[in-house]
Amino acid sequence: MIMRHGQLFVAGLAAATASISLSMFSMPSLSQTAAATTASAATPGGLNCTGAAVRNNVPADDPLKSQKDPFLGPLAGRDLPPGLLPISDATRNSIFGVGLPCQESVNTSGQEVDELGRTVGLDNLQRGFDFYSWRTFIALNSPADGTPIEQAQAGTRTLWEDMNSFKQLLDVMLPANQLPPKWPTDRAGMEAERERLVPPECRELHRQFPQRMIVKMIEESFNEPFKTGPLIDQQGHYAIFDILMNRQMFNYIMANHLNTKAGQAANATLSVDFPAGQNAKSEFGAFMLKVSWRILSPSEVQAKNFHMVDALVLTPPAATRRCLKETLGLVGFHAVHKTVSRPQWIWTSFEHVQNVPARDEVTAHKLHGPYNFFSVNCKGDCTENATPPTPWDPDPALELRFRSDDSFKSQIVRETPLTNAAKNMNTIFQSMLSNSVWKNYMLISTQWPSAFSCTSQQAESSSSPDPKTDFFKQPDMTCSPAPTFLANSTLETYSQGDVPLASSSCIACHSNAVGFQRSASNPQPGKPNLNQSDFTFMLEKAQ
Amino acid sequence: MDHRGEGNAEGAEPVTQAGTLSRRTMVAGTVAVTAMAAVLPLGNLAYGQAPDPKTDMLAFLLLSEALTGVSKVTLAPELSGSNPGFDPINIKDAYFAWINGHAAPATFRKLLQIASDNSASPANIVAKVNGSDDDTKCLARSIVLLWYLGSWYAPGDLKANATPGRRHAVSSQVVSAKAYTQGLVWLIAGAHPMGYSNLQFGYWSREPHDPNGPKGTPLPLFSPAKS
Repeated sequence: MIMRHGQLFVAGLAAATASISLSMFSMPSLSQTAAATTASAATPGGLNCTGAAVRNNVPADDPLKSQKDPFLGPLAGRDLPPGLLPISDATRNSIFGVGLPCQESVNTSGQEVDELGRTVGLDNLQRGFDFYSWRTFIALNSPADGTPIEQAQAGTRTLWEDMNSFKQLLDVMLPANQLPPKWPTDRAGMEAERERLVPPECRELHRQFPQRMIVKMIEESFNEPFKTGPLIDQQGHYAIFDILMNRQMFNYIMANHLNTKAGQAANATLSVDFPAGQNAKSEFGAFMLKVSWRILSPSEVQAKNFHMVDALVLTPPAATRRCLKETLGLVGFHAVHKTVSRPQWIWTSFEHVQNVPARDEVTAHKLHGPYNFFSVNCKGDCTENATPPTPWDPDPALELRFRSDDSFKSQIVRETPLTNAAKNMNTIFQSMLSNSVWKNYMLISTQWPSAFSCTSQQAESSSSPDPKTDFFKQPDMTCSPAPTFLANSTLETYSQGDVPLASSSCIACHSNAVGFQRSASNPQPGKPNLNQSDFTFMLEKAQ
Repeated sequence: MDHRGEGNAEGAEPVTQAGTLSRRTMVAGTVAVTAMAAVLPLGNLAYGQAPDPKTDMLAFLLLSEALTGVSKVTLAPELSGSNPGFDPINIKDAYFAWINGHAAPATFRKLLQIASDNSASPANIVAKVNGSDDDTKCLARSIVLLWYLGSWYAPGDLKANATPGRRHAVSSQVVSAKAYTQGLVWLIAGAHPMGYSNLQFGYWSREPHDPNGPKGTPLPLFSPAKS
C-alpha cells in the first residue's frame, strides 16, 4: 500500500472541508443487529445491514471533531495514544452491537492532524474507511448463532458462512445443462438447493458429514490473479481461494440473466449496474467476499489459532477429482461492498496475523514466527516471493499437497508494510477481541475511490436503468483509488509493490472486468454501453 | 510553436501547447489564489536555502499552473473547494523533490519567488519568467515538460539546444514509474501511456472527451479563464 501524500499540504484544508461530511445521512434507529440477522429461521432478505452509525448526534463541541469512530486521539502516529486502552465495555458494545454498515460513514474532520495541529483530511478519511472495514469484519464474522463475537472460538460458524447470507460463486454459475440456481428464503428450500448442488465425488462424504462446508475448486481456487501461480504453505499444501456473493448481487444476476454466457449475450444492451448500499434507506448493496484458506494439521486444529471450518474440498477439474475431508483455517478475507457514494466499491482486506513477516521485519531480523507462508529457518533455495516451479496443477493423488517430497514451500514477505494508522486500529480492535479467535486477524487496509467529483457522477436521467447508480465512467472510472496499491499476502501474493499496472490495485484491476455481453461498444452516441461488468470478475465465470 | 484549441463555452481562452513561454496564460489566478491562501501559506523564500516543499509548495503550484495552463485543482486535487478531493498519488511532491535535486537551487528559488511575488496573476508570472535570464526560462521549460510528460529534460540541454546552430536531440529521463503514468498529456488527450491504462474497456470506441468542452464536462482540467 502506498500512501504518499503531503500532510502539510493537505492539512490546511480544514477550513474548507471541516464541515463537510461525506456521507452523512439521517440515521434511523434500527433494532436489527448483526447477531439478530442470523437466524435459524431465515429472514426473507437474508443478511441485513444497518444505517445506524456508532456515533450519532455528535455535539457541536465534539472532542473527537466529528470523527466517526469513538477512539480518542490520533492513530496515524507511531504509537497508540496513551490512555486509549482498554476500550470500555460500553464503547465496545456500541461498536460490536450496531451491526453491518450499509454504507461508509466518513468525514474529512477528525483527530488526524499534522505536526502543526492542522487537520489532515486524507488521513481522517482513511481512518473512517478503516473503521468501516473493521465494523464490516466484525459483523460478518460474528457467530451465526447470535452469540457475541467476543466469545467466538476457532470453530464457531460465522454469519457469512450461513447459507442465508452468502452463496458461493460456483453455486451460481452453473453449467448450461443444469437447472438455474435458486436461493430460496426458507431454510428447507436452501437445504434442498444445497443438496442438489453437491458434486457426485462428494456425495458419500456429504452423507456422512452433512454439515461440512463444500468448497469446489477450479483453477482460480489455487492459482492467483493473472495466473501468477499457487501459494504453498509451510506444510506443503496449496492455499485455497473461494468467492461468494450476497443476495442482492445474486438477485441482480438472476434478474438480468447474467448467470450464463447465453444470458449475458442475449442481454447485451444492459449496462451492468449492481445495487448500492446506503445508510439513509438501510439498504444493503451488492457485496462480494473472497476468502483464502489453508489446510490445517492436527496440531494446528488443536492450537485453535485460526477461524476453522470443517470442509469437503473437491479438487480442481482433472482426469480424476477427489473430495477431501479437511479442516480449513482462514488466512485471508476480502470484503467488497458497493455503496451509493462509492460506486467503485469499497475494498477491505484482512489477514491472519501469522501469515508472513513484513519486509522491514525481515531486514531487521525481527521475526516473530512461525508464519503460515514464510520459514524463519529456511534452508536451501529461499527466494522470497517466488512463484513455485511448474507444474502448478494439483496432482489428485497428492490430495492438495504441492509436491510429494515437500520440495517447495512459499517464502513470502509483505513488501508494503501496514501504515501506523492501520496498526493502531488493529491493536484497538484486537484488544476488544482478546478472548476470541478473531484477535488473530488484522486489517491490511481499505481501498476507496478518492476523487469525489468522479464518484459523484451518477445517473441523472430518470430513464436510466435501475438502480440508477450507474454513472458516466469515461474516461477513467477508477476515481483515484486510495491507497493507490493494496495487496493481501495470500490473495495477491505475487502482485505486491508499487509499480503501476503491475502491482495490485483492487479498483484499477477490477475496472477492467468484463462479461460476455457481445455487442457494439457504443451503439448510440452519448449512450455508453460498454462491455463492462461493474468491477466484478464474477460474470466471467458464467458457463 | 503555439497550438491553440478552440475556446470553451464559457469564453475560456484557448489551451496552448506546453513548452512555450510566449503564450498568454489561460488560468484564472485571482479566485484561485484567494482560495488557496486559506489552504497553504506562501512562504518567505529565504535566499541561500534550498526550496522546501513544506513552505514553498503553494508557490510551486502557482508557478506550475501558470506555466502549464492546467488548473491547480488538477495538479493538486486537495485544492478543490466545496467538493474536496484528495491526492493519494501526489505527483507534485515527487516533482518538487526531483527539481530540487536536479536543478540549480538558486534558479528554482528564483522561479518560486516570481510565483510568490505575482500570486494574483498567472499572466504576470509568465511575463516575469519570460523577462528572466536564460537559465530561469529554461528551468521553467523543464518544469512544463516535467508536468506534461513525466520526464526530465535538463535545463542545460534545453539551453544548449536553443542556441542557434547548435540544435540537437535533447535527451530526457523518465522520473519514476509513477511519473510515467501521470503526464498531463495523457489526461488531456484522453489517452494513456504504453502499458498503463485506467481507461474503461471500450473507451477507444467513443468520441474523445474535449477538456475544453462545455460546462459540465466530467473533469475540469483547465481553470476558468476569466482573470
